[in-house]
This record gives sequence, structure tokens and C-alpha cells, in this order.
Amino acid sequence: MIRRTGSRGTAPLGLLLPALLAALAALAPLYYLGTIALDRGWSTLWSELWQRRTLDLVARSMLLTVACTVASIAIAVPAAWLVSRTDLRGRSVWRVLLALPLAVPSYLSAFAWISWRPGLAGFWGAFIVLTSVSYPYAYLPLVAAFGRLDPAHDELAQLHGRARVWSLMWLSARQCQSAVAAGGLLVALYVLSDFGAVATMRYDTFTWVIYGAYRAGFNPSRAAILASLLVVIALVLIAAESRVRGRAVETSASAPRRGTGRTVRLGFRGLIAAVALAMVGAVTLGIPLWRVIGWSLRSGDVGVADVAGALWGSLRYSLFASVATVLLALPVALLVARSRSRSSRLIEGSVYVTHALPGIVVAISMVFLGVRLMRSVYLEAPLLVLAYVVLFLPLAVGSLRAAAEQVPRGLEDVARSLGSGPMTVIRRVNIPLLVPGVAAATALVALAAMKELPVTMLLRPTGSETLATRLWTSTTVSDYSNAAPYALALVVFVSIPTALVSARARS
Amino acid sequence: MSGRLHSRPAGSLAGGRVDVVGVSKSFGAHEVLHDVTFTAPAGSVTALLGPSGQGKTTLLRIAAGFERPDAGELRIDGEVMSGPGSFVPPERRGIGYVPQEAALFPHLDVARNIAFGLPRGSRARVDEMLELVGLVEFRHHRPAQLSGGQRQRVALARALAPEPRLVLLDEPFSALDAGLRAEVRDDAVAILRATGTTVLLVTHDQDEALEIADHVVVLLRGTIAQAGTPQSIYDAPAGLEVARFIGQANLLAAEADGAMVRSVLGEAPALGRRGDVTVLVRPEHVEVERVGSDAVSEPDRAQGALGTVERRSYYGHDGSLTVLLDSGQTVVARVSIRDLAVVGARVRVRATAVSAVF
Repeated sequence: MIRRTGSRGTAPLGLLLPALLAALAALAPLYYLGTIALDRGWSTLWSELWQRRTLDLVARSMLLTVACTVASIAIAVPAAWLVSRTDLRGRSVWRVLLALPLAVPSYLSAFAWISWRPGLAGFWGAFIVLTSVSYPYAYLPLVAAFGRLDPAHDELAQLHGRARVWSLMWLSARQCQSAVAAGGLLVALYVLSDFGAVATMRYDTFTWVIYGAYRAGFNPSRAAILASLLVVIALVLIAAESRVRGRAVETSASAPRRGTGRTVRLGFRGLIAAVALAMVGAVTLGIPLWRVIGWSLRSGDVGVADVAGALWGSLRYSLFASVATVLLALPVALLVARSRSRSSRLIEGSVYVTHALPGIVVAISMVFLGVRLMRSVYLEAPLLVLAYVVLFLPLAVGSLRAAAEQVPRGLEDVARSLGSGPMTVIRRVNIPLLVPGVAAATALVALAAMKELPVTMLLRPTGSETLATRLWTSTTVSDYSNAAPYALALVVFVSIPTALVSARARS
Repeated sequence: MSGRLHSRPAGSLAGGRVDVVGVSKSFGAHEVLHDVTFTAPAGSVTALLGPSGQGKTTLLRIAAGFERPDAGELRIDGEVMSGPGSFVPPERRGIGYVPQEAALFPHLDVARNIAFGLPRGSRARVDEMLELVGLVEFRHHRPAQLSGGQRQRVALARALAPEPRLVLLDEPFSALDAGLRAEVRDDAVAILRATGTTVLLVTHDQDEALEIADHVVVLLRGTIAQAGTPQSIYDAPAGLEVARFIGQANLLAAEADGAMVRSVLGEAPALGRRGDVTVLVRPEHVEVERVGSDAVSEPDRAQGALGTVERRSYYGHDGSLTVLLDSGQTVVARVSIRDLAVVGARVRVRATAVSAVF
């Protein structure tokens, strides 16, 4: 039976207005960035872009992005295949362990590496760190895609003589091409947007140069022009990702049979695989952890009060930010999940676009906005919270939307027939069913805000410190023993809870 | 559960009469319903019957108020619910709705699901409904803990609790497996009849419609092909398509001269028709007689036609034979076990009655 979608077009005004507000908030900084980039006219813009140093910058950024993406896929494909299609021992432990680097802030990992091997500064350091923390973006969708593959394909391949274990992996990867591509694009977007790793490694890519342009005598138009160029590249990536992901979902829909747990036997190769995965774990998790613990043992003269103060700063701002973000994201998610009208698609699109905004771009735009328009709250908590909202709105909408779409349309119809008006349905049916999703989204945003660096660094209220800024200041002067307590606190209060929340949300 | 059903639940209302007048509905360029008019009498069980994708569900959703018709009017007890310039939203129509997948609220237990449409503190009514559907001991279960049949019963209780004038059922039994379906369906119909409410049931299952409905509306390509009692539709289908869709049909070319119509299966009254026509002979009106292998066709058509048994289906209580006539046509006959000839046997087939001439 064809599902009729005619009535999905209508959205109650009570949802549409707040959702519109959220979209405007998300787009305002982007608009402002554009006006500043064009402050001195188009000719200045072109001359800034057509410069040797700008083209070099693009080349360096692309080199790092492509290298990290390729390396991430090279790790993600075999890792995801091993944990989802084979009889590897301890698969469920590996499955979680391999996703954990996602929770490690890139600057923390970068500090760990550079404190151990200062010679790594530059491309190789940035490459190692960014590959370590971003390959899970390719790994996680692949675990899901491999899990949906029909095991009959492996059995058939074996019957037809393709019994070589690695050729079976190749076969699975070919079937999940779209998932590989989508994951790779997410990695690319992450690498391009990252500030912490390239800043620590002093590798001149977009984010670090934009920060430099902002610091060096506050050259607003060059910073804004470069930021706009970065946004354009990121938008291309995000558009490509959403296209490829659409295809990935289509192909998986044609094979509804769930994996029956029949798996490829590895035999002695299982040992080789385990050693390889252990090496991935050692590089991505082991070395940062070992360094952080090492610093802590040689701890300097950091007082408990300083650490507590920084932790309180992180907690306070991130809690405000997560509540504000989720409150704004909720109407958007409900609207998008319920209605396919033009206005709802437009709102969804504007929030989705901000997904492509790197932290440093949001930070710079908010500084411009603060200096020119909102002088009274510049370097005050409200502007910082607003910046977090802009940065994390897509994260919250994505997480809430998934939860909102799990409410079958039939429930709303039934509730209407039982005497509830549209807003009452939202209150009595949609919202109660959303509570777990709201809790998860709030936690995700709070944790993401706690480990966020560029926005926090540029917009934190004068005189206040957070874990991230304390760690940043200590490490810029290579004071690793003083950095230790903040790094440890970040691991304990941010990375570990992030891993727990993500694991829960996925199961 | 029959014991409970002899008494009507206290306070239940008589059903409302539903008038659908000239309703049309398009989605984009695709016209799903075209000028649909019928009446569901108060307290009746009316089935909207048709193959998938012919507009049945859209019609039901218009009755519920989930969709608005582009033209035409829908009235309950003479009160306009959807019409030009007026629209009563679903929550004010006084209807009950049971979708295919039951759609129980997953965050509420059985009792709270049933109480959803009731004012606060209607515990007595909830108890009454639990009693009615036989799920008293499941009061505090979550929907996830129930079987498919139990979920449908809760969905029914939830729809009936606010004493609706009209209950809308959208293929409510098709998601259940065959063994359970008949049982849940019989229980549900008994409960609905006991409350006296009007029922509109969407189904693509002709046996289901013929068995449980008082009134059947056949929808083909968005228009009403026929409406009437199950028997009138089966015995006198209004067209070839309806004849093919409802029950098994032998459709045979024939000649009519106004008085008699002659086909390979014999003669019958022509019902005033002349020329080349098609006759409908139901399988239960085909008589099969075994003949020797040397029998030859006689010119006298009244004797019926010779053929060879091509397929034999055994149903336990009776069976059916598919006979390939020497003239090349295929005829299906419903026969008693005694007459269930083997494949390859030579038989003579004859019509004992003709249901319709087209």
C-alpha cells in the first residue's frame, strides 16, 4: 500500500516560528562573515584569493585532508570488516575500542605526540593526530553498513571459489562503496575544520592561518575572506556527503535481511588481525594516555583550586550551551520529522549548512558580530553560549531528529482521532517519546562544548578559564607538567563520558 | 469470549450514519478518488473493498479527517465533517481509528493506552473495556510485551473507549498471521457489533469482506464499481472486473438471442441480452461428470462440453478441478470429494446456473 503523505505538508505555527528563529540564529554569523569579507569590495576579495600564499594554503590544506582521508579509510575498512563480518576473538570489545578515539580532543592527542617527539611538528604530526581522531567517522558508518549485508553473499562467494579471506573483505567493501565514500567525506570535513591539532603542530592550514590573520593586528577582511573560502569548500564536502549517504541508504534498503551472525573464519589470520588492531589502538589511544599519565606523575605546582576553577568554567558554559541548543533544536527536529513542506525543508537546509562551519569560522564570525553589533555582551557569557549554539545546533538537530522520526505517523493519527489537537499530540505523544533522545542530545552537546577549543579560546569571558583553555596555554609554552591535571580532567570528565553517551546512543 | 458479548457495554451509543457524496481527491497529478458516493447505514459494518492502491485508505483517511477531499462532502448523522468551506478536525469528529499496525503508544501501558481518549479518572470505563477485550490481567503490560493479536485488541479497546459514533479500521488484521487472523477478526467483529457503532473497514481481502460486512463498497481505480450486500455483489456483480475480483469466476464467451444465452457449458435465460456476450459461471455452479475416454462432443450444446482434468486441488471438506475443454477454454469447478477426478481424466462439464450476463 502506498503511504499517503498529503497531510504532512501542514506544520503547526507553534513549531514553525521557533524553528524559524533557530534557523536565523544559525545563519546570522554566516551572513555577517560574508558582509565583512566583502567590506572592501570584490576586487580586494579576488586579490586576497589570487595570491601565492593563499594558493599554497589551499594546497597544504588539501594535501593534509586527502592524506588523512585515505589513511582513515585504509584503517576503517579492515577494522569495520573484522569486527562485523569475521570470527575475530573479542569482537565486541574491539568494536567499542576502535570507536573510542572519537572522544579524544585533537589538541590533547597533539600535545601528547609533540611532547614525546617534538620533531613531528608540521605535516607528519598533524597527519598522525588527525588520522587517529577522525578515522572513527569512516569506521562507524561502515560497521553499520557491513552489519546490514546479507551473509549469503559471503557464503556464495566461498562456494564460487573466492575463499581467500581478504577477497571476501574486498567484496564486502565493494558492496558498501557508498558508505565508504560518505564516511571518507565526513573525515575530510573533520580534518578541514580541525583547529587544535594543526595549531599545536604549527602546520599552516586554513584554520591555523585564519587564526593567525585574526591575531596579527586583527586583519578582519583577510580572516573573513579565508574563512568564507573554507566554508565554501566545506559546503561542497557536505553536499557531496549528503548525496552519497542518500545512495548508501537506498542500497542497504534493498537487503532487509539482518545478518544472521554467520561469519568469515579467520583461522591463524585472526592473530595477525588482532596484532594490527592493537597497533591502531596503541597509536590512537595508548600514546596520548601514556603521555597524560606520565605528565601527571611529574606534576608541577598546579593547585586543586585552579583545576576546580577550570572544570567549573567548562561545566557552567557547556551546560548553558547544551540546554539552549537543545531547546532551539527541538522545534526544528520535530518540524523536519513531521512535515515535508517547503518552509520546513528550508529550515532544515539552513541548519544543515551550519554543519559545515568549522569552529574557528564560528568563533571569528561571533567576534565580528560581538565587536560590531553586540558590544555589551562581547567577551561575556551570553555571546559564548550563542556561539556554542550555532556550532552545535546541527549535532543536536541530527540526534533529536533520529529520535523524532522513530515516532510512527500512525501514533499521531490515532491521538488525533482520540480527541487531541495538534499541539496536544506533540505534548502527549511526541515529547514523552523524545525524552531519552533529548537527554542524549543534551549530554552530547554539553560534552562537545567542554572539549571545544577555538570558540572557547576567542570568546570566553575575560578572566575565566576552562579545561581546554588552561591546557592550551600551558602547552603553548611547553609546560607539560602544568598541563597534566587539565589533560587528565579532560579525559576523565569529557572523553570517557563522551564515549559512554555515544555508545548508548548507538545501541 | 462470547459470554461477555451478549450484553452491550453500558452507555454505548448507537452508531452514526455516514454519507459520502461526490468525494474526489488527487495527490499532485494523480487522482486517487473520483466522485465517490455511498452511504454506510447507522450501526452497519461496511467494508471498503478493493485491490491495493485503489483509494480505499485515502477514503478512510478522509472520513477520519486526516486528509481533506478536493471536492464533495462527508457527513456523519447529517452533520457535515468535510465539505466545501467546512472542515471538522479529526479530534472533534467522535471517531475511533484502528490502523494496520495497531500503533499503540509505546510509552504507555495497556490501561493508559485505553484511557488516552477519556477524561481523567475514567477508571471504570477502562476496566469495562479491558473486560470487553479480555485483557484484564494485561492492564499494566507495555505494548512491547504483547502479542500481535493482543495489540490489535488493545487498539480496538482504545478506539471504542470514548464511545465513538464511527470506528474506522484500516486493514487491521492483515499484519497478523493466518491462524491468528480469523480468531482476532471474529472477536473484533463480535465486540464491534455488541457496541452497535458504525464500522468502516478497509480491506483487500474479499473473503474477509464477504464474511463480516453487512454492506460492501467495491472501489476500483478510485471509483465505486459496486455497492451492496455481500450476497448481491457475489451473485450479481455489476461488471467483469467486479466479477473477477470477488470470488472465483469462469467468464465464457456466449451468444444471446434475448430469450436464451448459449455458451459451451450450456443454456441459460438471457436476461434480455442479445448478440455476443460474456457469461459468469461460478465454480460451484459447474457440474462435472466422468465419461469414458471414447466419448465425443455432441452438437447439442445443452449437454455441456467435454474436457480433460488439468489440475486437482484438495481442500479437505471439498475440492476443485481445473478442466481444459476440447474447445481450448479453461473452466474451474468446485466439486465434492466424491467427484474429485484424477488429473488426465475425461469429463463432461455443464453449468447449472449462470450468475450474470455481460
